[in-house]
Amino acid sequence: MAKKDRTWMIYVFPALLLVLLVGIGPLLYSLVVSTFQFNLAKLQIPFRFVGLRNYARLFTDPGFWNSLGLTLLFVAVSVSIELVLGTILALVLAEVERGRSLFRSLFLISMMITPIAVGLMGRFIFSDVSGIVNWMFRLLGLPRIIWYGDPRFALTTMIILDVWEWSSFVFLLVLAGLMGIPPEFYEAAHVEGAGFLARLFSITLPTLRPMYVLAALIRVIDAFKEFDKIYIMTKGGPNFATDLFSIHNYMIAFKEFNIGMGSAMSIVFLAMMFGIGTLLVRVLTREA
Amino acid sequence: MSRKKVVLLVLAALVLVPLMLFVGCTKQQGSGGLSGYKPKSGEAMDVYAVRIAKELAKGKDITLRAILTWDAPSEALIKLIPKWEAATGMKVKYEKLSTLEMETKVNLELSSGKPEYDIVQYDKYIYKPVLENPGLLNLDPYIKKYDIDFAGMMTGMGEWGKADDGSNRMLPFYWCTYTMVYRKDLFEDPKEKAAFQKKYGYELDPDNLTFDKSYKDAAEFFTRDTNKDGKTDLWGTVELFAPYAAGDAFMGRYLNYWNNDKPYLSDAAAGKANFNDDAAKAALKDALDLVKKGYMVPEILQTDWASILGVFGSGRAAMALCYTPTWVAVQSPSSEFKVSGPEKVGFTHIPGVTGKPRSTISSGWLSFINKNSPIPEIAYLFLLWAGSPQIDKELAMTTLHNPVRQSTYADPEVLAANPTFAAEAMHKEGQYAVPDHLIYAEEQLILSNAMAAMVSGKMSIEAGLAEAEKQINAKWAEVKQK
Repeated sequence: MAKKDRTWMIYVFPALLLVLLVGIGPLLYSLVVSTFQFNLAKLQIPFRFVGLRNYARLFTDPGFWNSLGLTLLFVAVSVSIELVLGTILALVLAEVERGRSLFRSLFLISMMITPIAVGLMGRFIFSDVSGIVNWMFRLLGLPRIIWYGDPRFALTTMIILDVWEWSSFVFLLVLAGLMGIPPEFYEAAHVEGAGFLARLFSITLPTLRPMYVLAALIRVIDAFKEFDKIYIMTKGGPNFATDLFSIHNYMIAFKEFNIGMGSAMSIVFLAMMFGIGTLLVRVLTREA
Repeated sequence: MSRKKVVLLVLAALVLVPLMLFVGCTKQQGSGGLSGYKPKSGEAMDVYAVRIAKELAKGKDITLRAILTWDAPSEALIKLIPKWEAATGMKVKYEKLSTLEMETKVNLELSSGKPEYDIVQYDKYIYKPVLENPGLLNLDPYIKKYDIDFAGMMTGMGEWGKADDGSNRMLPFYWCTYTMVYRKDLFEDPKEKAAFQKKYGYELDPDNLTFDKSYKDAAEFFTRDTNKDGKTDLWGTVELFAPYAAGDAFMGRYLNYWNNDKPYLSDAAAGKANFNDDAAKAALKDALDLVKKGYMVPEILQTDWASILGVFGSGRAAMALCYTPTWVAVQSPSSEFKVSGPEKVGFTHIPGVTGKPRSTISSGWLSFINKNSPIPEIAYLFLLWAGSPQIDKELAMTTLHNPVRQSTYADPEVLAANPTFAAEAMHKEGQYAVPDHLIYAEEQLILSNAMAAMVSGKMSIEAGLAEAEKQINAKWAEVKQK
């Protein structure tokens, strides 16, 4: 039995080594670096051990709390809208018999575009002068909005762009889930005289709950990491209005090259992700 | 020791010491000493640099590896690189990076101690931390050996590449100033001029505008609804207010209000912000007045170095302030821009302030050589060649490059091809380089955000300046700690 155990360990060892090297190793390194005063570019700043000072400075930095608040708002609003919009799209397309594959492919295009390109497209789409959004606003007699150049609208613009890009992901998952619901459920409900809303809330949504948890888990983690589009469009501005966690972290680590603080912020980010991930996985497991 | 031995030793020393000195000198010359590398009589700097580089590379397969900016100046250099390659027989391998990519790559590679390039071009506004990096080659021995003639360069450029220890670590490659572009078809239209005179009681003169008076009047005057649909479609002016870019708008204005009595923006020696004063308040008040009154384009908070050209070129603003290279695209007629060409576009110094000397910002790009380069001397000769008066002129003639040599700016052929240069040569005594201190990039972002907060009404000028000062002082405290 003992010999068998050892054989099993030999098989696992390469994978374990790989995880240690590329996952755990850098994480531990980051953890260590986060306790040092370490600036890669400004060599005048002495490299030294500072314990938890980087964390203390982080938690007393208004910029950190601003970025955290903005990120939570961004994630909550964008993921919620994506879940609703993805569901509506899937419900509509589930009813379509002809051309479903074509529409499904069309809906997925936004998701397949690289985020940098989405950011660049966003600059054109939401350009207050020549953008298609303001052009439509003009046709409808609505006022012109300075989308990403006005602190009042900048975050909303980023949310709209994220929803445009990722609703199709939720749509794809929900559509797959819908296809998997046995038609007998609906037939029985029909016999019972249930209407659309009753079927939706009593059969469709409860059955799709694991799908939603999965979609929410993936999208929440992804939205927390949102960087590319915002960096391309606003670099966190104007006046920190889109300074999400990842942008703030990037600026500290790779604009100021304050690697100690940047690592501390990454560790905080990882801890948050770990907490949210664990919570969602727990919900998912309970559902299963 | 016997007397005989002492005499023998002295005699031996008298023979051996001169012999050793002679051998040493001969050896030095044979391996590339000073006398072998003096320019021949009347030999131009570019020819001289090529000749020596060719000698050094003789019989060797040499490839120079360079990181160039992806901006226009490197395009100009890339056009001339084949000329260097043909003349010297060596290859030049380069990659082009944006400022931000370059900043990350260069800092990471310098810190690794094993960078993979010989030459790097670097943007002045972020260069100070890199300038002080020990990974940069000290160029002093090469400058002593092959003079680059700093005196012939534009204002203050000879000081740009000096590190805190006084040694030269970077060489200037590109120079530019913050200037103004204006709609010549409006400013020089007799009807417009007469209407302006009638309304404001003085002559409209784009070369002598003032931030505190005539620039504001001109911005008000040209803000109009040209197609009579009830909405403004031509704004008086546009400036840089996007993140980072707004720092330039602030400094361009601030230098004109400043009394030249203390370091501008920050006092690097004391490690503290130095701009929260009456000059800054007046400069910002004038700028914010224009925004609030609607004389600047409404999307002002997203206007950066690239988009300002689109705003002006599309005919949405009568004036615009930015670095001169931005205006190169509209100096000749272009199908891309509604407003372009010498008939419609004029270039001049940025406005001043009533009763004060005219000032502006200068900036540019510099080049450095990696300390671990296996061919530092050849790398230096390449930079000497690129910065020579002859190549400086050739680069300028591509209209992609702003030269570093005073002689190039005085060359009628160059000026004819680059009408923007005349604006750069104005009020030379008031040209101040963007600060060369360690936290300038951070300072720019902090100021930009403070300005955005003021524009959007979240903060008063006083509160915005105080907040920016506090944040900048915190950055200084970090850098200055013992």
